[in-house]
Amino acid sequence: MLEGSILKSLRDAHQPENLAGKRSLNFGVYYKNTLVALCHALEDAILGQDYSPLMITAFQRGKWYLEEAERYADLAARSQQVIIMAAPDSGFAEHPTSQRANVALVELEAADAVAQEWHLIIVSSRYTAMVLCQELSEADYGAAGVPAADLDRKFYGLWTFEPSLVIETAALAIAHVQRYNPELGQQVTAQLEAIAAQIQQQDALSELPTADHLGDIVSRVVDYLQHSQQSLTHSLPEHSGLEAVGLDYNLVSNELQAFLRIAQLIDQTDLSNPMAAAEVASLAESLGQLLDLPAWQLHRLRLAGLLHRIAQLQGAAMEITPGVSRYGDDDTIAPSCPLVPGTQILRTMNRLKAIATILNHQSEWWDGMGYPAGLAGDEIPLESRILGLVSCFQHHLAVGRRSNPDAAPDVITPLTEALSPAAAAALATALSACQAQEGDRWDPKLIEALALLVNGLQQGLSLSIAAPKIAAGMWMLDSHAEEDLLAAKI
Amino acid sequence: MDTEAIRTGKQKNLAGADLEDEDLSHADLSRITLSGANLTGANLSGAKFTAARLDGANLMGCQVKGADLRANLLGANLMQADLSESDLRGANLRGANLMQANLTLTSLAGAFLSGANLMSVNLKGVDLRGADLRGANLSNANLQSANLFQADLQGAILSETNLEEADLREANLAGANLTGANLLCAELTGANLNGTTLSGACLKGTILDEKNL
Repeated sequence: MLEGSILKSLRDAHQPENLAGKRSLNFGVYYKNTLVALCHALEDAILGQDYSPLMITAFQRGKWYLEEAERYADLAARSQQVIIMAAPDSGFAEHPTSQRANVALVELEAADAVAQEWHLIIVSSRYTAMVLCQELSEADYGAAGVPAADLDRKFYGLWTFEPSLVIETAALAIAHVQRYNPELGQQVTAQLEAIAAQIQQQDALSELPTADHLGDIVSRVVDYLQHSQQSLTHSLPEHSGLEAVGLDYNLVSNELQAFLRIAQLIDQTDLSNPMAAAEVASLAESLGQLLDLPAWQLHRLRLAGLLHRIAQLQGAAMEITPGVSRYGDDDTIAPSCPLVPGTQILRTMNRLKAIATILNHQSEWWDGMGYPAGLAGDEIPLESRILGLVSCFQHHLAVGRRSNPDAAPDVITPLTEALSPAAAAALATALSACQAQEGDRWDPKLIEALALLVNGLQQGLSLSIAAPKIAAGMWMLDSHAEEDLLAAKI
Repeated sequence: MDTEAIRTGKQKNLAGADLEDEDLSHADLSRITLSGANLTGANLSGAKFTAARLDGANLMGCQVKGADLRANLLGANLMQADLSESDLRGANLRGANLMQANLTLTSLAGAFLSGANLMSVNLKGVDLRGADLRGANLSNANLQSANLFQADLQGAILSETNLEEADLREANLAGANLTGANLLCAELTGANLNGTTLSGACLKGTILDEKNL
């Protein structure tokens, strides 16, 4: 990582020894094509909205900005302030967009490490997003050498929606701007502080800039990445084979990352149960192992576990976990093929169709009285039954931990450590809560398997609960990902 | 060879048998003994080998796609075999030869691969959680975005190996040779890097505990 770059400053602030209260960063590799699609999607999210964000960008060279300058006129019209950092090229300052009152150019010196970086930082009280990358140096490409085509250039860094991380990075970027233009630096520092204060206030009122409206934005990200994939397929004959495969993989990986990042954000904003995804994923996989499911199905269960809270996104009117609402309470729900809206977002990615179906039916009841379709018994996809049970169990565990702090000696990884008597009791309580609904809500076979698993945990079996490495989720996408889980049964 | 007797489970002990080019696809062969058998070119796709003995068997160029291979494959020859989508969880592959095998979408979680030959093998995005890869030869292999969480790579040869975006959290890399490896954006939090050779490795965006170096 280049000395003096913004990416390095952020990395240094997140080294394990400085990590108190912060999370380690999830870095990934991005082709230029991926970055273009990602940035366009994150930028276009502000069009047609009144977020009025502060935008800080780094374009490496003025000529790259000039390629986007027309779009940036529209973006600037929707923003309170836009900052463009780039090494100057001819026509850079003269473009009409550059002349706008709320667009400020920062002409980077050639030796400035930031001139090797690609940044897009969007900060507003209701929408935060960023792409923070640095280009590989010639040496980093190794034996293969620097790619000939501009679109095959590779970058590394991260992208995210996390408000705290975006604000932290914006402050670092502004500090860099300050060196070139102190007056501009002070002005945007004040703007950033005002936005941060608003977010904090929303936090206090529990009106987080949460994942709720991010559903549309993620759909757009996936759509733009897929579009990039399609144009790649069309250009294949001229495109050299190996790099095209690499780029395609990178695009699909980032589509998946978009969903994993949303799931991560849902967890982060739920302080009462911040490890739900990782814990449900591990519990579901372990239960699947006890049932001797094949490896590809375990991978799918794990991914479904990591993504299970996406079902609660915008429009998902009913809360999933406690599951108090029963099918039949509301006669307006048609039993044909109703869908939980949150799961629809997943269908924008073909390879997540089976996951979408699993999540859609995780709230069915064994006796047919659940929603959304009122399926009963074995009509309910097995993975939906497992996921529903495990997330209910984990929910009870989290409630138990909150009411009795002794039950979780290590709040972050409570199932990995040797269990204290209080933690063992919390497991037993959560199990009894599930057992009480055996036969009406839950599949008795699964209750039996869960009891075995709990017994194992109480005997010292430990589960590895680790947050997913977001850039490396492809191993969970399996060969059966597009199958229709309900087709065979209905 | 009467494959019908094998398919129906009448024949369970086939140590050293010659089954070259036979079709045993989708057969239930769990607990069968095929130690030292010649299965070159056989079609074993979708077959079930749970707890079977295939130690020292020759499966060179076999079609084993989607098979359940949670079996004893100690020292087996799997060169050029198509093992894609197969289930190798916890399989004993110690000293096996997997050169040029197709391992896409396989699961090797918890597999025993110590001393196995995995040179130049494509393991992109493969599940190797908790696998025992002590002393395995993975030079020039492609392990891009593979999951090596808690894998044991002690003394493994990983020179020029592609580990881009790989998950190496809590992995044991003590004494491993990663000369010229690509660790771009790999994550090694909690990994043991005692005596690990990292000369010439690309460490851009790599998450390392500095204390482990």
